[in-house]
Amino acid sequence: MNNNAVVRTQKLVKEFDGVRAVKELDLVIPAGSIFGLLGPNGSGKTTTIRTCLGVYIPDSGSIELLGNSDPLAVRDRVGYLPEERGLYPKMQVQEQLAFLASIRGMSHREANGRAAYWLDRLGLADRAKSATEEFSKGMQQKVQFAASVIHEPEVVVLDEPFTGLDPVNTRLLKELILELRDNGCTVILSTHRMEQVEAMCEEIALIHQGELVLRGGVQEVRAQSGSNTLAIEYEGAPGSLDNLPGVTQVHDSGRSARLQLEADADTQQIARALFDRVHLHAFSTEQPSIEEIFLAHVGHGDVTISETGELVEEVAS
Amino acid sequence: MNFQKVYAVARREYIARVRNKWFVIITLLFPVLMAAPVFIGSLIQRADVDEVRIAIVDVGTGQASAIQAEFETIESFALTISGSETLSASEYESRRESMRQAVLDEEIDGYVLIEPDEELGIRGRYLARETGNLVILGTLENRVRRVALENYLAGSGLETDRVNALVSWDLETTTISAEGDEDGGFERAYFTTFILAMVLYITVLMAGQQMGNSIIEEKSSRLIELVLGAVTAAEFMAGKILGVLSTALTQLAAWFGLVMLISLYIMPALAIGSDMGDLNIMEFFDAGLLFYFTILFLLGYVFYSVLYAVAASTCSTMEDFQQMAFPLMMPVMLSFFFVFYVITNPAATISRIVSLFPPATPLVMLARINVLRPPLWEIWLGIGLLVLATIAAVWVSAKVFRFTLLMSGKRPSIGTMVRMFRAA
Repeated sequence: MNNNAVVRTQKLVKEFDGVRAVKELDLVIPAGSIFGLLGPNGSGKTTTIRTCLGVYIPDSGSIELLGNSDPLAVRDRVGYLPEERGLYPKMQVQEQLAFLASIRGMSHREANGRAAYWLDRLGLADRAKSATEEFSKGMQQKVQFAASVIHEPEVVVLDEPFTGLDPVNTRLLKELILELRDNGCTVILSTHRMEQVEAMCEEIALIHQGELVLRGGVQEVRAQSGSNTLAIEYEGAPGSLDNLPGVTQVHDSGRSARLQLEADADTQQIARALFDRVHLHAFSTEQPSIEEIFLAHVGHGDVTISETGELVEEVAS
Repeated sequence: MNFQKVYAVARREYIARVRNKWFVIITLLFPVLMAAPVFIGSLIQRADVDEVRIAIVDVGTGQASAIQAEFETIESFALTISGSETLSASEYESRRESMRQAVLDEEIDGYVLIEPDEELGIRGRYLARETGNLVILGTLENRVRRVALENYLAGSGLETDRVNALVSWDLETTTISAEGDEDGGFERAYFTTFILAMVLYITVLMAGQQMGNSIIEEKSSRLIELVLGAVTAAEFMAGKILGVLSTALTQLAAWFGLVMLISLYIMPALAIGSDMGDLNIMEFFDAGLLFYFTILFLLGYVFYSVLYAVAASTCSTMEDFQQMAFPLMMPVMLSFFFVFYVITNPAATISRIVSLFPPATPLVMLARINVLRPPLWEIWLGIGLLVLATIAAVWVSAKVFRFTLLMSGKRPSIGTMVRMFRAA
């Protein structure tokens, strides 16, 4: 590990038709870790990534990628798994991987060898000659991941890498990502799935409406945010957690719940109210989860948690 | 520009195209389709029948024996005359059904019925099971006409043969050009111009369409983001064009090989073409013509592929692209139609001007070169302008590409495109 930054932006601005997607963003991503870039849909994450990788030209501000002010100059040392994914449907999967490796600067022979290695790694070696369109979505997803790291990049940007994967493949992908880190590759994980961030990332940055709202190590961020969460296990009638004194938000899972408190809330008073209303099994104060921190920072009623646990920012039409 | 990456993009493009089943079908089928008129024409003229057995029934003209004598000189197919009778109208009426039965029972293939005609003397009708063979009909008609003509001319002192020859009098042609005079120019020029223009027209439109399809595919599957993360828009464009170009060369080589194969081996083996005055396909296309054709073909191919690529890069769906593609098809279609004017008016001022207009140059200049070779400076001025237009198209596209390729949703207005172009 070293202390060099792989990405350093200063007052980065990117506009589309007069709308600012990224607003004077100052972002430093250190080398050698798994870095979580968080933000709801439409927050400017993808635009930030694309600009940092040289796909977009910034309107103002500066970018340094791997110490180079022109991201395109170091493109072969970077891997990228875009959020909106695609492969050539009719192309054989091994040729496809070899092609994606060769446009990252690998020789044809080298690219073919790496493609074979990765197919083997993903358990798809026996289908190397199949057309990509014959693969299931999850398999294509894995192939796409392989495509983003096949040229052994120093930095890899994974935009929502877990979308659409089943638990088995999610675990496989997690292992592959940790392996990348262990081999010295910096992994930038852009996601709105907070549980993965907590499990994998060492540092995070929260982006909301094109601005950086929070930045730091995961533990550090959680500690800073104080112990304003109550975790309880209980039995009780539906609605029995409504209107508790000093509680701003309730994430009720039926038999357990997490209550978010006002800054000066009286936990004793809340405990008494709970005893009156439900049969309480467990009661503890906790540090907030990244998800709750996120909501506290960006949630002004326009961010909600969907059924799948994703944060959704409602875009004003 | 990183040429290894350009090569990688070109290679992928080439393999994807050449493996496409439509590419294979068109490549194999096109020469066959082009040769079909020659084949079919030749087959019709061969009158491929073993033997034709007919009878002659004369109802009151008295020309039965004269006609039989004429029929006996027929050589272009084997004809057996099973009998000739002179009947009265009522006799024929009563015999009619038995004649019909004889044809149906295949005792004879048919019979020629000769009747008097007030104006022309003879009226004839061929009643047979098969009346579709143009060679048989034409030959019989010709012979009966001779008898009718002879009857009419009898005693006038005119010779039937000379009258017949005069009726089918031809104007012969010699094309005079700096390279040497050549007899029978028009038909040859018409034929070859049509074939070459057709080849250009179809392949250019198809290449453009394919270019559009492949870019739309890359855009709609969002591959473009992955690719543009690795190669520059210019490298991407260059690779695509090289891929398209090598596909075109492959196709040309395949066609050339197939035409050689057909004209040198297959046609002689089937004895096709012998009726066409020792026609040799390769004589139709001289080396100079093929040289200019190759240049114009490649330039036209690249020029239109780039235009189609730019159009496709602004679209997100096939439907959008079809709308954009129509105005691009217009110059190709119009110049194809204009080729028919050029064939008859190769030196007209309008032909000369249009042939120097780059979008029309590939087809129109080719037609001019073939029909009446223009001065060398005019040919190369046309090629030069086309090269410049192609370079300009590549330059503009490389600039616009990095914006339009990543765009999704609504198609940009011309104003937006101009702004993007300025920003680049």
